[in-house]
Amino acid sequence: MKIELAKKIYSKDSLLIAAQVLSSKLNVYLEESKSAYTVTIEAKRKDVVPAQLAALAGEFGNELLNQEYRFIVGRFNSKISSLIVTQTLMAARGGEAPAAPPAGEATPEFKKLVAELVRNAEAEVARTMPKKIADQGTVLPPVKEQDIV
Amino acid sequence: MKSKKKTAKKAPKSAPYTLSSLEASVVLDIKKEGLESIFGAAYLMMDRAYVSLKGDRAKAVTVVLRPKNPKTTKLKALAEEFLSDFESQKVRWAVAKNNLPIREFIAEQAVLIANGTIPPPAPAAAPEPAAEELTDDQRAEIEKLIAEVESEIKTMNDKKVAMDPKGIKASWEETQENKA
Amino acid sequence: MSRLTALAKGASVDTGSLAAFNFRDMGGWHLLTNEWGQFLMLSSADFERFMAGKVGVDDPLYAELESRGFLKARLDFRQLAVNYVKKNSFQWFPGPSLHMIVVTLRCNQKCQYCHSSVVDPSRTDTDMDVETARKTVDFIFSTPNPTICIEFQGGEPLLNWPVVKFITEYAQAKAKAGNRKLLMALVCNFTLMTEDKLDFLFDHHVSICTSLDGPAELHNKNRPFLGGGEAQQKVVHWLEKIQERCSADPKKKFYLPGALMTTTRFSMDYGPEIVDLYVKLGLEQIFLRPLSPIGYAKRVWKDVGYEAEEFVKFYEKTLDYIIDLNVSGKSDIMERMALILLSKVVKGEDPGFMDLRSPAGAVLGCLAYNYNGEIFVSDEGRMVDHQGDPIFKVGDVAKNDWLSVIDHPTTRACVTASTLDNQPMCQQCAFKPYCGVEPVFHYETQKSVFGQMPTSGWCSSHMGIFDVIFRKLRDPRSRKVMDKWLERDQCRWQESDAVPAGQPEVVL
Repeated sequence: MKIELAKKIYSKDSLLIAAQVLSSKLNVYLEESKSAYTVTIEAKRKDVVPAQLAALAGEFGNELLNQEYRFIVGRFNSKISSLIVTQTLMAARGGEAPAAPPAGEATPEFKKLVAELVRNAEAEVARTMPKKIADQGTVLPPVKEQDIV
Repeated sequence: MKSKKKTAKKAPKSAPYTLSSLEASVVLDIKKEGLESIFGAAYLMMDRAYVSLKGDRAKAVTVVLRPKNPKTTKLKALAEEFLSDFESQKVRWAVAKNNLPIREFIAEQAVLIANGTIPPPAPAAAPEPAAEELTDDQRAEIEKLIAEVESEIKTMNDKKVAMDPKGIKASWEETQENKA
Repeated sequence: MSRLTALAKGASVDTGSLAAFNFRDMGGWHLLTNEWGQFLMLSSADFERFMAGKVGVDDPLYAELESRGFLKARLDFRQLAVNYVKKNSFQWFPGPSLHMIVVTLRCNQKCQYCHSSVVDPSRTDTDMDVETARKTVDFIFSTPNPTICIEFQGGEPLLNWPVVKFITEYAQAKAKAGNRKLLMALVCNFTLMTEDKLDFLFDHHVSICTSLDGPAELHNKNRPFLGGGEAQQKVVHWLEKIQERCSADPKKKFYLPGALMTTTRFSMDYGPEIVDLYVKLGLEQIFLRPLSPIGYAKRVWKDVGYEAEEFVKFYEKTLDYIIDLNVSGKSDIMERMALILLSKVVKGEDPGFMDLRSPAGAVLGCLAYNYNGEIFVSDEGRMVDHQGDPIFKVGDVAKNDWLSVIDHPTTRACVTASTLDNQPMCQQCAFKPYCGVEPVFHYETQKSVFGQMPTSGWCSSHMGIFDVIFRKLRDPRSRKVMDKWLERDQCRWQESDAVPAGQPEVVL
């Protein structure tokens, strides 16, 4: 399905982001002329009927609007949001270099305590580990997208 | 999106929207109505409708609404909901624009107070004069103070542009604004 | 109209006199809020006068509007800034305080909604080893916040008990050496608890929390043993046992165990019964929170999930029941979600709930450490990784330091996306001062960390909950109960603050 999008309304940035957001459901092909983008969308699922494709096109249009309006709002509030983001990141950072470990951790007593804790823990792990070990398989595969069409 | 060419049903004479069998469209003048309000109202329809925009951001935008569930959503009701939200968006955006310099100022003050650069306000020692005791001169003074703060903020912003005409220090959002 | 609500048709508005605010039509009355945390509940007539700029200086409403920062000509900038600082105190915190360590993915239960794993108890390749545990604790203590809270999670953490003990003792030794404030908490299913383990946890001041979804038929349906079997009896047994031990020793009053419930579709018909069970077991709080379709829960959402509106109905009905119990004197049990929101709304404070902050608590307030030492923005981010998508991984305890985690692009993306001034709908919402968005939730459900709020389940459910809370605040009967809850909560926090750094402390 082809969709014409006026360049005087929609930006390329929002097109690219919308295409990425919906990339699990749609393949999106882009052509452009001087005044418009022509977007061809193709459902990834092969069993999609025309009404479902129209709905996917509608979702794509909504995501475009979501991005465009997000840019408008982001620009409007940019000073405040930049202040908040910068403030929180700088505060959380805590400084330009990690703090050195405290002097209390450099004492022989502390090191001896830690070595003992490690030894005891490893011994207990060996003692309590299950005798029968199942196949060491892989993590679950990613969930398949259940297309909402 | 290309819609099927169907004969547009005309809405009642005074209604500022057009209905076809599948869609409702509203044409809005940017200079009169404001870009942000139009986009804001269109955005809020996304839970009930597929929304597309046509036209030119500098002149006029047509908002096209297609119900997600045509069986339960009537086009006329959809168009009227849009217009109702649109009127509210105009108010919300007007208030937001009127108050942006103040919000920015208070946010900056908050950072300075939290970082200890400026002290927080001292607890009030004596009660402030009641509102009805303020003279016209005092009220005018307060309004002058607000205008000065807003002007100061604008001057700071203008200085920033003068010192960095190429926008090297500008944030990503600022560069997008310049592009637009 | 949209979920933001709209002005009445033909409303007269004088925008020039209005300070920055958001409004909401609550049906018969209006809510005003501003981003400095102030709120007002106005009759519709008063709202109309306010909007039209017709509240004169002699009007009793004028003083209310002025004192709360709704009149542009009468703003106390410095005071509003102070309110903002208090309400958003977390924006100035030096790094995360909550560190969730997944010591194993092994579990002996197969909960319907479990995000963590479906790994059986013999899968020791998913245990955190001692060396990784040590590096994890070292990493945690390299983060700058003077207060550290370590929370053990899993799978079922008791299946890797040696490492739980090691982390506890090692962290406490480091806290003492570095004079840091350390709190520790264990979240477990109680089915593997023993007296010896309980002794260790008490001796080392580790607070204990479990999952209790409700009466046996509900809990066992939601949380069966792997291979079948009923688990609820064990949970109740240990809850009662721990309470018995705590009651016998006044020094142990802070060790009373907590319980969390997970709301599934099956819970919807059991609201009062769940509350009754919590009351019977002497639990101080119940936390009614919606399930999120993240990780494994996403796979089974059609079986266990529900629409936001369904959850909000369940929430309101169950909260009403809880309030009725308080009013009648049958119980003083508190609802935790309400308490969190009340702290924000009424007290203008941040209660430390990571999900409802702007920006969200991901990295800034909390980190999650997987069994293999990988570091994630939050536990939800770790769950996404478990399904095969590592997008929310921000480091590894063996390879990265704190600065590389806070500077990570994913961290910045999450912080930016969850700052509500960047969110189109949130920035106009009356609940903005008290709310937050969750980047991982929106990535999982809408494929973008920013999300799309008009269609967001997160937004719908939280707006619904806020509607309920504000309606309750307007009702004098409910308000009285809620004020008592706030008072009790304040006392608990004051007692907690009295414990000096370097001394073990219990999570309340």
